[in-house]
Amino acid sequence: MVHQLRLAHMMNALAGLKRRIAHITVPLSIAITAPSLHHPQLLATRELLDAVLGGQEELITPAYRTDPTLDGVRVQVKREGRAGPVSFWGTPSGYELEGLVLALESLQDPFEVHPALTPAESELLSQISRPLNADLYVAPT
Amino acid sequence: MVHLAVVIGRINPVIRFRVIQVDQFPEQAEKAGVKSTPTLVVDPLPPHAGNLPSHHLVFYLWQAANGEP
Repeated sequence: MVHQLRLAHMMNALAGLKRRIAHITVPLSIAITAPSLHHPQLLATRELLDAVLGGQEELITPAYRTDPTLDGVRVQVKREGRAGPVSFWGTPSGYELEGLVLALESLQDPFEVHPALTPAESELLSQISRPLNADLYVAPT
Repeated sequence: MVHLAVVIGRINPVIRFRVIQVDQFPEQAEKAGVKSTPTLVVDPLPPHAGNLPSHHLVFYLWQAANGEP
């Protein structure tokens, strides 16, 4: 029973993400780089993207390539060849898949999100002028 | 916090986030001193473990950008 509830929850979540993807109207790409085309993380990522993009691949194009120097999968969303400010290391499953969809949405205008930052928070962020690299370590969900 | 990372990156693109799965990059996580998740690592500040509400996260990033420990 619990398994069925969890499965239903996952299907609902996936349906919600697909609806959000369907509202994206600008061409975007998702660059997936892995050590090899047979790397387990790449296969898992491809499966996830196939499920969530289903039918939107003409507008949101996954592009797979290999780099043997890597130790895992990197996923980067792009608009007109320019990378967005958030990249994902590892298969973006669970909450990270929602994060990937949000990263795609953030590349188009308008981008409205709730909850948004306060004006004071936005102002403080805008004062940062030197490049800053932030690593957020997360666990699978 | 991934949600916040996307919002922050949109507001100021000089701030770039890497969302790293610890189970798939365990060596990377160990090297960074990660002991629990979520953990945020931004030089020169020490790693911060646990969720950060938006105002704390923004200030943390501002401190990192200004080189303040």
